[in-house]
Amino acid sequence: MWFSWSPVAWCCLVSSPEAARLSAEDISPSSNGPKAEPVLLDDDPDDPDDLFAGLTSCESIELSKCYQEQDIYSYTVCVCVCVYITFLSILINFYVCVCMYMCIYIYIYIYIYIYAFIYLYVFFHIYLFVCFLFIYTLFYIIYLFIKIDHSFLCICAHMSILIVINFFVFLGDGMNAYMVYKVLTKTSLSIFSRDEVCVKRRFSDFLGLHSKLASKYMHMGYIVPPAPEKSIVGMTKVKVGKEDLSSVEFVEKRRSALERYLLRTVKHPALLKDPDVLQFLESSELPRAVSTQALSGAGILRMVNKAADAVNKMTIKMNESDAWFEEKQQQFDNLDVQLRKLHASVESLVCHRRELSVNTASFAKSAAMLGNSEDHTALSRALSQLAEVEEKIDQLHQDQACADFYLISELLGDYVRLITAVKGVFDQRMKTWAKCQDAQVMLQRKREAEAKLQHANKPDKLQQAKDEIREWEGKVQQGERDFEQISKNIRREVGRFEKDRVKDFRVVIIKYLESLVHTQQQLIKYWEAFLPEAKAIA
Amino acid sequence: INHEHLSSVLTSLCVSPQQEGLDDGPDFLSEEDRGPRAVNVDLQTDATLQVDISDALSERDKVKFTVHTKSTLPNFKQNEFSVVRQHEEFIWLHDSFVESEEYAGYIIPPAPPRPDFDASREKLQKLGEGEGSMTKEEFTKMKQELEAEYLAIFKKTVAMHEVFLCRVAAHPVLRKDLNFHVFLEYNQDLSVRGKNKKEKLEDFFKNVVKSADGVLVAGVKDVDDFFEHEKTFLLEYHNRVKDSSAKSDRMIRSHKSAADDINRIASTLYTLGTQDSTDLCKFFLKVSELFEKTRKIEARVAADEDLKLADLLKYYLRESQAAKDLLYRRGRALVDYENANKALDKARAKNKDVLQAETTQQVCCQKFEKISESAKQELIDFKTRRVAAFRKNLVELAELELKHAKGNLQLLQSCLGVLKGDT
Repeated sequence: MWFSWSPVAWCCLVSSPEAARLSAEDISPSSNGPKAEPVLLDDDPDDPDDLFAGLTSCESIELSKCYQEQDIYSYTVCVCVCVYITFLSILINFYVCVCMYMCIYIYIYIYIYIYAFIYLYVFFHIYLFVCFLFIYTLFYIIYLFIKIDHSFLCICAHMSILIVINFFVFLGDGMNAYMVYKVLTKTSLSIFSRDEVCVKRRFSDFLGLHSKLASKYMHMGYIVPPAPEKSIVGMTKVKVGKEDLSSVEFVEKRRSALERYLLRTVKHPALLKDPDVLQFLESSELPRAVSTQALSGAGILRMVNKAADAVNKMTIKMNESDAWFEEKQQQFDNLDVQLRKLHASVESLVCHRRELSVNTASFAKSAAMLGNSEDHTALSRALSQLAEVEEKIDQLHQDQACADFYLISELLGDYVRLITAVKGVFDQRMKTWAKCQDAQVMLQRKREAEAKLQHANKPDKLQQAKDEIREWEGKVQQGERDFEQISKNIRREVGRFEKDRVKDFRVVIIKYLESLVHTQQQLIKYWEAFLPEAKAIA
Repeated sequence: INHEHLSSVLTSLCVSPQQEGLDDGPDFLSEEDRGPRAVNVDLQTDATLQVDISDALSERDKVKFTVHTKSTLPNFKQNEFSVVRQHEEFIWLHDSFVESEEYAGYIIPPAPPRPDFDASREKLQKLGEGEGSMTKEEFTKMKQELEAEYLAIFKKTVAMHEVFLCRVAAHPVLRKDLNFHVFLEYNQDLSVRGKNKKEKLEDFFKNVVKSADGVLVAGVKDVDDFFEHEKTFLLEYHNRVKDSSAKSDRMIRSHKSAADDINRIASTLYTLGTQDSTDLCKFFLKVSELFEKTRKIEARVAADEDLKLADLLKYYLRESQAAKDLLYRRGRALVDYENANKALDKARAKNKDVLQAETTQQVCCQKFEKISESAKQELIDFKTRRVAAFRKNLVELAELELKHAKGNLQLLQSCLGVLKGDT
């Protein structure tokens, strides 16, 4: 059933150049706030961080193994080439030595030439050494370029990170019970202290991670992937201990949502290097994120902030100087509307398919009974065959419904939430602009006050006014710089987001169509088996 | 939009099931009129009496059927003629058969169901109300679909009425009935009115009495093994067919709603495709096109299942009810006969009214024997017909499912090939 989708449903390959090394001191285990500095991406237009040579969705572990094998292959190829070059160089060197020796032999009687000759010899060797160094670097650059090329899969990202959320346990009892998820991280990246880490996390830990990342990065314009939503109803049902299908499904849904959330987070090059993320994935003890509870002080503060933001959004009228942002905002608004509609239709399709499978099962039973009561033997047999076929078809419909759900519906849900995050980032930009404008207004006011004071001739207050003006000038400059920075970040993030979106949708839709193909093939098989039975009725 | 508009559109539609020109293959509707008629297989196309419905008109609440007869029998004034009839008149004919004592020994062909466009009308109304919330293309598409559905139901009801008439015409005894001839020939209104409240109440009571009686009669053990076996078999069979019919209806309904969902998904994908600025736009457009086509196939699958499976089960539900009625009548005659015997014995013992008791007994005996004889033949025919009809429909169902699944598979594979080639 849908358990087949769960283990290692998603894996992600991220490459990271050698330059990204975080020393161990940066990963402070007790960080639970803005103490850890946010990691900035280099202001580099062709971001070498952004190498996603792998695929983003629904790959099994066999595929990642295949990549690792291909990594080994690429390694051996490079090593062989280097060894070959070394031998070649040694050979050439040797040949040159012999030549030189011959020259020495000829000129041995002209002893003044020996010094010149020695200098020549040494110089020539240095020249050769430099040549071969150049050839080695050339090969390394080619190797890097090949890594960048997505289609050249055999020499692809050799550093990978794989996150699997697996079997979970229920700890505690009664209404205070909570689910504990085991997060297994397998990686060859150097920023992680070990190759394989397994930690236990609660759902509130995930929410805590998200809130920390959001507070650090949202205002800079990075799109932080949103965490899965809290669902009180679902969790209560599970806590009450109902072993029925819906609570099992709920747990599975949540598990795969958390897995996708973590994978999206580590795919983001800046977030991957963030100490909070590393701590989340590696350290065995994590301080409880109490601020994520709905009824805590922080929760109420969050709600107040959200309300204030909504009001602000309505009052700020931004003077958009950049057409790109306006266009993109419009695009995202449209996309949001359409994706929501699509999500709703897909959910209703899932529901109807499940209903269809239930109805087909009951029809199968009733057809079997009809076959039993029929006294014409051939017809009776045919009817029971029909009942069997319908039962198999019902199973098929159920599987198809699961595919619909786990492939498309969840993806659409994720993207609806992601677009909300993107819109949030655009709002942040507006807020930054508003702050910049406010600073300018304040500066203007201070200048006016200073002008007034100049006329009123109060020297001490004048000095204070001048200081304030300087302070506000600094703030205005800072505001403008921030605005520039956030605009640039957003452009880059949106570019990355679009690339990911294209890839995700393409892969998922192709997978979905393949599942539809499989369903039809099975249908053909079943009906072909039934047809001779039906024809055999005398 | 309201259903007046729609019915005025359809009033101009004159459906002629006899037209050869109906497209075959892609249009599933054309298979329909061959469907229910083929439910009972051995129709003797006897040259002496051929009946069909050549035309039908749908007005606001009523459907008017044009019954066309071709006959070489002497009792008709002409060789070929047509009359216009309504549903109530069919019901009148059927009831006249049921109520007449002469035909007690035959399975009366079940009456055609009332033309029921309520579900369609409801959907149309909902569509009209929801007009503002969807785009123009979606609206026209859904309207077309609803119109097609309306047309399908319409054709089906015409076919059902035709089947009834053909079965009566094919039956060696029933075709000679005077009421039937009047029905076929009398070209003015038969002024059959629907039952008013009093008559409906009477009917209701009659039904109650009848079912109580039926239970009583069924309790009487029959002398003849054949009939005893048939009784138990038919009872069980009838219940099971009822169950299967209901379940198959539900299954097909959810299949249809799943197909509707795919329609909506296709149109949303189309909008996404036109709006998108990245490489995905071509992708989405192609996938939306694919979903449109698969939806048509899914809808056709549901319609074919409806036709071959659900209609078959519904028809045999009614037929088995008619067979049960026959057995009930026979049982009743048997009880009467036994009572008459007892009365005769009592009269002989008391030596009073012996002659009267004797004649009553004779009459009952004759009636019983006549019914038994014809009932046996009818029941055997029923079985043969049933087996043949099931065979035909199951084979056709399997073939159609295969055809559609193969078509679907081909579409999906070609689209998948194109999409994978693009990446």
